[in-house]
Amino acid sequence: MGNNDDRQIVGSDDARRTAAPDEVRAIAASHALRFLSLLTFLVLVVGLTALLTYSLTASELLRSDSPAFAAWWEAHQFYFMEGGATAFGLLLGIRVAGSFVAGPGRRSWAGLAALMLAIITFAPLLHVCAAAARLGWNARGASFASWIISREGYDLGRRIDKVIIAGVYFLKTVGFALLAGLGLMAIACVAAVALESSNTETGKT
Amino acid sequence: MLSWRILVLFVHVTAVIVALGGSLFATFALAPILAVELDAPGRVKVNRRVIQRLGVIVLSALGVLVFTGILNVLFTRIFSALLAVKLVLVAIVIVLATYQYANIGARIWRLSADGPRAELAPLQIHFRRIGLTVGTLVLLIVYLSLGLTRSGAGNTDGRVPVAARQRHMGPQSQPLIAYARPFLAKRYGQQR
Repeated sequence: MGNNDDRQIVGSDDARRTAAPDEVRAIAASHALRFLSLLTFLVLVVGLTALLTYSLTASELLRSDSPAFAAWWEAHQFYFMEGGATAFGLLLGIRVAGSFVAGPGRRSWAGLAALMLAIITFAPLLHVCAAAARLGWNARGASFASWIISREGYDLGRRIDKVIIAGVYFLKTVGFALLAGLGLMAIACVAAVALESSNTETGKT
Repeated sequence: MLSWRILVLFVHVTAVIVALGGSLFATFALAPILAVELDAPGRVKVNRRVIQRLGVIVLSALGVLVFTGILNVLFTRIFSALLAVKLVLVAIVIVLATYQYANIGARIWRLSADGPRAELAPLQIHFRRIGLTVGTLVLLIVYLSLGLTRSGAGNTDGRVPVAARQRHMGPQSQPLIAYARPFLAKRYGQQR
């Protein structure tokens, strides 16, 4: 902000009242967006790590060094994969829909509201999205698996097939969670629009 | 007769009716009447309230639609190419509706606070165009949903759904058998 603007804000109480919240809102919006992108990257890393360790049975490698952690990870890696996929889909949906909302203030407000809704509904959505992703498309998977095995040999073919099965499951979970994230953002936008209009009406009266 | 599946389906269909009906009413009934009956300041005043109210209703209905839709998928227990197309269209509709109400609608709301302005006209045209696109896409989604229901995706009583049966036997097998049945009956009597 330039010197003239500073003087205006300092000089007039009205200007301070109107300009300062805008600046605060813009800073909060940039912080919220940075936080959201960091969170998205984090859950993607967690989800993909869990996907690879689950499909390649990588916990076997840790068994000799740290048996307790290997056993714990083996018991929980599937939930981490499902949770990572659901969280990634939700955050992606919130970010995609958020980019269409006008104004940084409203965008950050609606984004945070959607994030709160996502945290509240995460546990049931995890089960619902994972269950929906488990629905089979058709029986072509079996022929694909036998094609890979005939091409790459049994051991490598089985391993590739398991990675692909887990990857498709991960993507389907992300897809359903993305829809849920879009829905949550739509609901958050409702709250933002309603709040803004009530504020405008209050300001007028 | 009342089950969770019926309840979820009822809420899902009601949300579609609310979202689509509201948009169609505003576009084809309210807007032309406002243009004829009210002067410019009054029209802008009413229009901005309508956009704000309709935004709340349509976006809420779309939020409800997503969650009941995912539950419906769980109830139908079939994931087909048709369903995948429908889900992609749903995602596009939500993004477009969010853009329509949370971006253009919000700009109209802000600009129209001080009465009629020149910048409002293109925004309102854009708003209406996106509304019509959303309405068309929702109609297409409804049509695809009818296809999903007709193909037996909703059959969960333990029998093999028609879609799965056709996939197993080939897409043309059922109609061909239906056409051949009178010929077979004539030639071989009741034996087949």
